[in-house]
Amino acid sequence: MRNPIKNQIKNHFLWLALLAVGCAAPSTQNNYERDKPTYQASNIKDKRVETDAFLAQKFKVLEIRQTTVQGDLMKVNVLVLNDDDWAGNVIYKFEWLDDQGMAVDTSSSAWVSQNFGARETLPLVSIAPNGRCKDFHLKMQQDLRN
Amino acid sequence: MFMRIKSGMPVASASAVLALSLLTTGCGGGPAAHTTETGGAGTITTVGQIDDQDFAAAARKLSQSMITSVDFGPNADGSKKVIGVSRTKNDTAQMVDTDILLDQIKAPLIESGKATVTTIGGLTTEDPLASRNVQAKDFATGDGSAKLRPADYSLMTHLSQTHATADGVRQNTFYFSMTLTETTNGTVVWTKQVPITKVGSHNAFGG
Repeated sequence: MRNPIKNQIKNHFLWLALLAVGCAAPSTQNNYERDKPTYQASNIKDKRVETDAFLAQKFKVLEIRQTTVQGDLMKVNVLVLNDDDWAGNVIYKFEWLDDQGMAVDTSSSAWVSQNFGARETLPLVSIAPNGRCKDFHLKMQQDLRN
Repeated sequence: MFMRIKSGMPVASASAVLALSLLTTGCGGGPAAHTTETGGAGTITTVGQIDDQDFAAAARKLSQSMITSVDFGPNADGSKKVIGVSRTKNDTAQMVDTDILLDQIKAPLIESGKATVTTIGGLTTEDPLASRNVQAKDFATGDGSAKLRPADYSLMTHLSQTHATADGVRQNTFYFSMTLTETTNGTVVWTKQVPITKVGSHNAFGG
């Protein structure tokens, strides 16, 4: 004979199990690296104007490194951490300035989308469009299209 | 106490209905026509097509890789290295204007001042007037002083696509591949493939 209470409990457990499977947090990645890095990065002190608190909390700029390529082209590497258990996208754009602080009109300044896995750290990289560019701005926004 | 209008509906309720109808009118039909920054947050992301932001991302990665990897030191006479645009092959399932990608590769190369691009010495003559003038000058002077400068490098482009579906979700990966070959000896000095994977059940609008 069927026991309705037992069946109800069984159903509850079934739903809970389904819920647990459906809502399980996505897997994050493990990172491994040399104890003491062999490189010597040239870091830049940065100034931040953060008007989107959610974005600033989820995507954290850890450090900014710079170098030069092809003799005089500045290259920047902005290390960003997705400090969240959920993946997400940001769009970003580098704007370049000359030694007078004037914006350089360049075809390289385009919005680019970048996907970050949960707890993933990725570099956002840009190379100055020409040797006259000496500084930059980085703009970041949530990519709500994804 | 509410003031009653003819239908007997309280004024407060009438205001709520009005606000609701305004809200529905504003949101129901989607946004009104407007311009937005290309590839920015207020644009559309499709699942099955190459969007503006995909071209921009691919071109950025390709041009940065090329500028970082290839030694574009000047020629013995001090002139810049010249790149000729070779074959562009599109093996994706859609019609693609490959110039959208190529233009975003050529511009940063020229802007960098490290190399330049010939528009008359590539596989296709992109600028017939310039080509004709060079030939006319050559004919007039007879000394070959305006002789077409041969490209030092040849740039080849290949676009391809893979497609998969699972549980109503579509996935498309677009591969943007480029190869730079030294024309004096035919050796590849740089090659890179940038894949862009798009997954979803429908296109998305950033608002």
